[in-house]
Amino acid sequence: MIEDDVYRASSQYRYWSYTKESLARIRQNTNDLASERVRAAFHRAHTAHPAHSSNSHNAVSAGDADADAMEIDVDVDVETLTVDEELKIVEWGCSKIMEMGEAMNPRIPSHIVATAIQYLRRFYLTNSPMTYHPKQIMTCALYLATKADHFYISLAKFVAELANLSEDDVKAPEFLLLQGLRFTLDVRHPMKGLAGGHIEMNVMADEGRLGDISKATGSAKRIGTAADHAKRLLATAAQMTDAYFLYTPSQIWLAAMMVADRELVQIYLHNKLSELSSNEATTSLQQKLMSTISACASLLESYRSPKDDASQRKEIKRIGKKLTVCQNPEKMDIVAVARAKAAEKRGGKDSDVGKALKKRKLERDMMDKDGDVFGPDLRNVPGSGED
Amino acid sequence: MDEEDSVGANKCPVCGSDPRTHPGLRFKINTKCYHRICEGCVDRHFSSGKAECPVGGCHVSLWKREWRTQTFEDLKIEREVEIRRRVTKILDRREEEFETKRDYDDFLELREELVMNLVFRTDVAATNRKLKEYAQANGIKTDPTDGPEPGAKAPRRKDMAPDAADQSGLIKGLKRIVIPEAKAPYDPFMGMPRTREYYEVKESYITRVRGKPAEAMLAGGYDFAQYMDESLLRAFAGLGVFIEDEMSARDNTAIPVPGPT
Ligand SMILES: [Zn+2]
Ligand SMILES: [Zn+2]
Repeated sequence: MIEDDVYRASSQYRYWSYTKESLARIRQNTNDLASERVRAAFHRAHTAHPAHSSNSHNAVSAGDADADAMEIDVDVDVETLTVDEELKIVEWGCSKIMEMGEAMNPRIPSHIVATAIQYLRRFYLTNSPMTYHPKQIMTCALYLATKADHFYISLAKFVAELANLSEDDVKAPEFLLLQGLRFTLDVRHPMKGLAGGHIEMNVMADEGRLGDISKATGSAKRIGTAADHAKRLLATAAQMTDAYFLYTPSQIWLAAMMVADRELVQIYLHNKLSELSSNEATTSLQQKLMSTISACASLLESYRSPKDDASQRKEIKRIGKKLTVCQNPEKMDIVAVARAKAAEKRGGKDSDVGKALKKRKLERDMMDKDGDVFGPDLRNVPGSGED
Repeated sequence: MDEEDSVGANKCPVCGSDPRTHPGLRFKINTKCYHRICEGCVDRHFSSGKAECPVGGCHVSLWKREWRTQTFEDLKIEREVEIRRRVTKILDRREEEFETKRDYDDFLELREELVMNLVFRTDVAATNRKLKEYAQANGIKTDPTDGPEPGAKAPRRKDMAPDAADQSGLIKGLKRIVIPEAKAPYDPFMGMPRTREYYEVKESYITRVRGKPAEAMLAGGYDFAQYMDESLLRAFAGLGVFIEDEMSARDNTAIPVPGPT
């Protein structure tokens, strides 16, 4: 279908859609790498101040260093976060973003908060909370989302709304975050689709195309209630789960409707698809669609807010404590690094002029070489078409 | 022409005015019979439309606008230049249009021959006929006064190939006409279809949105149809995209970049 190809052209499909397995594999991989780094960092920190333990050893020979390393490694083995714990921490960051958005004056619209949350989730696919704590990233994610989705707040105003935060705290991780997002800022949300679907359901009911559900049986009220419920789900459950990675926005809003009113979605989809054309292809599409949407719906239903669950709150607290222990000790202070870079740019101007020119030339050459800065042909988007 | 010269080059052959007695007297000529008369006579004879040349014995009929000031002192030159101008205007071909240099040279020779025919009044009728045929076949307007009758189709000779550059067959060795393939109009969507399959924005939908517009929609120029289209596109873009299937079909071993590398 043409609309499907429109979605296939989006960066959300091309870069941020995964199967359950690949999602798990990527997270495991990120976790492994980060854990390794944390251990290595702890080990180095230990050998740097060996004062009491292995002073004599080091003095004797450098050749023994490797053997030492093994020994010490065992000594300082830190307990790192597991994939699940990392995920919990990220979810905690997401809920914080939501709170920030609500507390802000003017209140940040929910679709922008949702964008920020998706930024955070995408970022932590390839970065571990052990490397960068979510509280360093989340304000930046929210601020970036306001910029990307045309809800202008000045940085000064934004910072004033948040306690204990400097402008640099918000600004500094921006490039890091963009890098983690692979410079794709477009997030396709299901909310707008829900609005369109809501209207279509109403129209179909009015025209008697929704079977038993018609104006006479109070369709508007029923659909309205379901849509409200779905809207709430999209703002919470859809953000706090992996729905965006696993399903398309159309499937997500239909799933949210299904959680609210299963029968309504069934009748609606059945009637809509058979109106399109009634051949075998549509029946198989319909079956497949129903099973996919049901799967998405159960994913949405599985979400429990930590607010109304004491054990989850406790769990978060435990992970938070664990994280303060296993946070990578070498991890630089993002703000300090950004400041140093800015200072470097301002200072050493004279010596850097030649270098800067050279760099610019190099960049230009690169640009010439790869004329593909705007991405592939619309038509030839991989995955579109027959496959 | 010749008798004029002997009688007194500067007198008007019609009214007899002489520039020596009438300072500022100006003469005009025409390119049909090349008689030269004074401006006053032109005004007198041609103000009321087409008339015969007033010079004795000449019956060429002319319009007033056909009289013009002389460019060259020598009327013979004036006439030859005029003929050349007319012939080259009709036989107007550039070297690139010919298959070979030889063909172009042949064309130049042919043109020169036709010009000289007219200049020396040999074969005038045949030469003029050739030119006229050529002009008609190639859609060239020769004389605005007696151009081809409106609606007259350019005569096409049966033995000529339809893509021959000169349908009258006068000029040989022209390159065939290659009609360039029509370029499709520019399509910013690069061939992506703009129709929709899952939905159609019907009037009933638009009325529905118009019923309870949000605040932003009350702004002037707000297009409800556009809003509806966007909402419905968002609602169904990707409905039939099953990520589980499509992503596992794609090579997902490269971590962490599942997209095209
Ligand atoms: Zn006169
Ligand atoms: Zn005359």
